[in-house]
Amino acid sequence: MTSTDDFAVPESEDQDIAAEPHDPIPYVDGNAAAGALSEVFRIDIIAALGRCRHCGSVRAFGETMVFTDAPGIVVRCRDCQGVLLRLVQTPTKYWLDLSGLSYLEIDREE
Amino acid sequence: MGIISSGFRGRRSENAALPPGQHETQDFPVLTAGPAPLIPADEWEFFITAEDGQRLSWSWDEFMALPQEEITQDIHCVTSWSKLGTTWRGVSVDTLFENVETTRDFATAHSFGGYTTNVPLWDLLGGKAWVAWEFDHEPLERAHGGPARLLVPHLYFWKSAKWVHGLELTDEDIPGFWESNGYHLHGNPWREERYS
Ligand SMILES: [Zn+2]
Repeated sequence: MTSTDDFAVPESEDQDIAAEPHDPIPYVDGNAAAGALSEVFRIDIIAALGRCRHCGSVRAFGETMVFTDAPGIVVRCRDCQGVLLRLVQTPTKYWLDLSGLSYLEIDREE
Repeated sequence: MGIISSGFRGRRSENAALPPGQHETQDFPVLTAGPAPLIPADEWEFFITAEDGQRLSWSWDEFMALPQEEITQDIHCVTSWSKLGTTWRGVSVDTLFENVETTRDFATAHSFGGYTTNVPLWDLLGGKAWVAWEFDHEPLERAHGGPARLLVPHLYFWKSAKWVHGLELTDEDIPGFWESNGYHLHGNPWREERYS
């Protein structure tokens, strides 16, 4: 009851996540987080592999589900919908929570 | 030609119903930190937990049998839109607390889907908060938190947890989903309590 990520995963074919059929809560892929995150990371995070702390799935960051119509950016695992990363931008600070990623694997430049 | 441009406006809006830094919208934007959980009525419940393992819960039918109130309130989202004169129907949190004995001062609202937000108990009691299931005379849409959401209109709207499941009473004010990552612990729009 204290977990923020004990997500009741909807049926995978259930795209009716809003009240109206075929009117889902909009989300986009990980590339949509690139702009905001490029101000925080000097690495190409979109190509990085990340491991989901909740379900163990390892995927490219670009494959995540990104929710931007919110008070911050919320990046979720495509497999379990657990929260991987949260970024809040205030007028003076970034608040970055990476606790949903157990690691990021990043290619070094040649 | 006047010396002062007629286009000049101070930061304060001329509409006294708008807190500082807010603008009015006629829409009802959907803000969500994740996919909307689907909660069938026969699996829905609302709970309150307090000290000594005290746990009250209501099924959907039990909840609907409680006294219902018509609510007309302005709502204020931290992303700067406000919506004035919204109408809701729901159960006052005071009604839900009639049989709760507690000395605790704070609550964590838990949502189906895992979202949490913290609200002091004194902001939930005294006719200031509801569990609402109707918006604008229609059942609350799933995208807006249906079957039911918390409604705490005098605080920024992220406190009005969608898909609300219950209230866990706590001794301390424990930061919730947004409060633990940059947003204000309390969230009073008239004091612009946006960020921590
Ligand atoms: Zn996962």
